[in-house]
Amino acid sequence: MNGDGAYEVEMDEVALFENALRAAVRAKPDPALRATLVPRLAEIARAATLEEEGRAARRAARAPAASRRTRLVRLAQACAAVALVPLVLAGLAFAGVTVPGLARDAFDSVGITLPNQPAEHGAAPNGQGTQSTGNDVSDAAKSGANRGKGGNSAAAHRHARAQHAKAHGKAKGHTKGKAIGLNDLTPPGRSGHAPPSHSNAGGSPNGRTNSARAAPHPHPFPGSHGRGRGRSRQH
Amino acid sequence: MPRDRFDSLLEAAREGDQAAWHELYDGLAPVVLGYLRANNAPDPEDVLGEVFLQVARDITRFDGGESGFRSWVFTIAHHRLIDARRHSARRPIELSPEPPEPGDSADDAAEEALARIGLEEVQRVLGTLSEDQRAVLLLRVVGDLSIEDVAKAVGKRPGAVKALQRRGLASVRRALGRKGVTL
Repeated sequence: MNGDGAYEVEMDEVALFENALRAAVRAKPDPALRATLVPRLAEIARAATLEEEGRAARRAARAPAASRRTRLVRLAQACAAVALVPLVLAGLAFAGVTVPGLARDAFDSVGITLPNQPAEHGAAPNGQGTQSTGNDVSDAAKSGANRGKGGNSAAAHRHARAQHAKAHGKAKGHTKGKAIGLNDLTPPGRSGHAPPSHSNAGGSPNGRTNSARAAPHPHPFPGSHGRGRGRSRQH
Repeated sequence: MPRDRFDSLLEAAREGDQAAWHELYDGLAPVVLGYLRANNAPDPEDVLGEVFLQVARDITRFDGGESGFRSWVFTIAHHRLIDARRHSARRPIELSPEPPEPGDSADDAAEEALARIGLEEVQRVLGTLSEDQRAVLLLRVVGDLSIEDVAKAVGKRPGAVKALQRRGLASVRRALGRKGVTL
């Protein structure tokens, strides 16, 4: 017998066994079990079906109430979020942050004045009418709209002069320094050049900028002969 | 059974129709009982009763055709068999303490095969299989379940079921060859 034949015989054996197994394991259950079990099965199935139908009906009845509750919860969440906005803005104002004008107007309209805010936030776009809040330089520095428009703030000028007075006698050449407006020649912001954000009130202590000893120079940067500032115009 | 016929039978069973339950029980109880016996279930008729009680309780959740129903019932039977085994001490493998009363609807080919091999030989060969191999072969042969359905019933991957079936059939072949079954 060749290999194929042996394989066929093996397969036949297995098929025969499977058939025999089908017949061998098939057993007739006890008729008494059938007689008692089947009515119970019918009863249990009917009860289960009724229970399932009741559950489905309850689910259907609960669904609209649940959706109404969900809508209410969402509405409450939205209201809470809206109520939180003014609180956040007020908190920011207390922390020293300048809140947008629109928000300040809204607070003003209900009679609440936010702390740490510019007093006249809507007025004087060139900075001339702005009232100081105690930190003039920073206010001036913040008002970027004023830069380079010939309208550097008076507050910045006052501050620079105060610094200059303070430094008087402590450094050589304090009247010759490059600080804007310290020599009373050119008011800050009038030169047509954008002033730096810092005041540099003490001038140049190393005395390099000695050109200020000469006749009053209309240029706001008297030390333009010095290195690095060589942009002075030759008249 | 045509799909429409089975659907109406199932609907009647859900509504508690006893005739429908008689039909379902008569169609499945003999093979399920055979499966339980062949797997050495302790008190197989008790386990059979538990299987059908669970079928009745959960029949509202079943959705599918006749083969799906058969597969579902065998899955329940397999789980109840495991539960029953856990609650009883292990006993040596034997198909039945007494030869069971044969079922009345095995086909002629099966009866002829059994006559040639013999009930005792079938029991002996089954005894050579591991528990998993026996469960897989019985679900495939007796329950007529697909590989996927068997995998669901025994909680294994189809590949593992195929491997168990292959090894089980190899064991059957060896056991029959040793005995020298004549064809």
